[in-house]
Amino acid sequence: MNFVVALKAEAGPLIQRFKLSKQSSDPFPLFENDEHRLVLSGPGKELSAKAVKYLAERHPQPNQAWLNFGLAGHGTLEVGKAFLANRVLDDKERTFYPTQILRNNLRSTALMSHASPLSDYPEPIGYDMEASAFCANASRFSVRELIQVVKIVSDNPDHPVETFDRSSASTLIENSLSLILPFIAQLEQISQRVEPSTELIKLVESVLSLFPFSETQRHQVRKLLRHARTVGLSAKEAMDAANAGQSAKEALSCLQRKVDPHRELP
Amino acid sequence: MIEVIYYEEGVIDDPRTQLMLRRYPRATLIPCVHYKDVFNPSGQSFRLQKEKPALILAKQKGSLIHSVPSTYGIGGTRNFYFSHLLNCLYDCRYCFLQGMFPSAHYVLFVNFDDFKNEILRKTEESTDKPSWFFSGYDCDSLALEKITGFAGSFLPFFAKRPNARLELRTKSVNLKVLEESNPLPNVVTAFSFTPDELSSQLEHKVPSVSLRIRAMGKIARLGWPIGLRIDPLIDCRDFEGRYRELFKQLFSAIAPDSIHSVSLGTFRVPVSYFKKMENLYPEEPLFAGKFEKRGNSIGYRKEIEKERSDFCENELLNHIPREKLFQCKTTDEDSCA
Repeated sequence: MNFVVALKAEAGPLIQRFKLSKQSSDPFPLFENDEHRLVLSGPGKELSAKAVKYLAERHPQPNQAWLNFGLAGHGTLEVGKAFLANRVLDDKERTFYPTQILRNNLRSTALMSHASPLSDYPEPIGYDMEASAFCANASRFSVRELIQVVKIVSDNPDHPVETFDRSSASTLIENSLSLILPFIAQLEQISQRVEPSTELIKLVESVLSLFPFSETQRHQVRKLLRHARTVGLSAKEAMDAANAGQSAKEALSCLQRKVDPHRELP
Repeated sequence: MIEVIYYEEGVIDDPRTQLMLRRYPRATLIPCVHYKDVFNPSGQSFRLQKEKPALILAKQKGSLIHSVPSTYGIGGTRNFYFSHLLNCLYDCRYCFLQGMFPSAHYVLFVNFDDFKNEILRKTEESTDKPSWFFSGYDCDSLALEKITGFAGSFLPFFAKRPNARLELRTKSVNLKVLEESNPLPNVVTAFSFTPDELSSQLEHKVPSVSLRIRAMGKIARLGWPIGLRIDPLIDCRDFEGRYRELFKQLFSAIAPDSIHSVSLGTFRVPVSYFKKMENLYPEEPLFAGKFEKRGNSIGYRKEIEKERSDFCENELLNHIPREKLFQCKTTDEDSCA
């Protein structure tokens, strides 16, 4: 699970809650535990885009969950209210529609990303400075269903951004965690359904290390091992079959012979 | 059931849109300029979306009625299909829609009248030959009837136009709309079946075979012409025993006179669709079957396909005359599933 948050004050409650420890400061401050990573991007679209890329390159597993989290202005919602973006608008980027498949108690609303803070709130939607760049870039590394934006209202027409007390940021976020944590848990849960099987990845690596396979053969090995698993053969049975060959070609034939009798649908 | 509704800004005042919005007052409403802004982007997970698809309300523009190759027909020579709805309530692992569409959201085209006008135009092109219109290519014709009102709207239209023929293709047992209408000789309700053992493995969220047979029998007794679609044929253990038993169940449930047509179709999908389907469900045993690539399609190995198809054809001919049996024939260049 990857979090991209603009400022430390916004990230503090998540860092504490997940007991994340600082792993690096350059080019972005990065906090981690075994399952969660949080990068502090700094404000603005450009930094947000770079922070996503940095995190994705550091942890290149496909189909991870990504959450852009922090404070935002809103045209109608009251200060302290948490909301889930259902449309992320931008004056330059295409509109991004984060898929709404998780049950939650968050308000659902559109969010417009601007290059600088707004002093007015022309529409009944959220306003921030990062989400559009976050979505556009995160979608290069994961499926759209796992890319979400949750914000907490820090300012609105009654409490304009100039009057916002920055020291209250952590408290605003802390107060919303009871709504946000279940959402994060669900996001993590669904991401597991589309993550590649680590067991299969390990098996493929083991078999590929047996012989010098050509690129086409490597593709065939991956396919056969996937099928072996699908038809109910254990990793050991597949490994033993591949090991019975004396060359890459023979290993493939042995695997094929092992899998073929099981291909009929039960 | 529907928790999120996207709507094209241009259809907000359409009466059907308004009906939907009233029907789902608690749904989250999200406007878009064009349905493709939501439906088409790459990088969507059909599998995850299938767990909670949204409804997209849109207007279909451009060509609304498309020609169907004559080899796919059920006796007619003028064959067309149209799609008032994209995607399906059910989740059949063999379904080509999951390989074809980038999204699992339901897209309902609310401009029914435009479809009707186009159907009328096509029908009037030929007064001597009937024109067939297939409504279940990109969706199940009846499964979402409660939401779409499609059959409720189109049955009266076809009732007045006997030279226009409609096929409703479905796996639904919710056939109230048919039960409450007078049967129409020019509307065939076609039910797709695989044997029970396969249905329970592959046809997720679909009513059981026995429930569907019961529902089919009910509307057959009311006088509706019935189509049987043994499509796609799925290779499996005890193939012959299972398919023979399925045919026995089907033909004991409906009188021969009620059967308009029976069609057989092999499992064949374009290579790119198959790859996508396999990537969506890498753990699915169906995709480890004895397939081969032929032209741009993937299907069962030729000898398996022929043997299975021949067996079913022979078995079916024990129950129906040859003129009622149709093969959904595919070349190596096209596909059918």
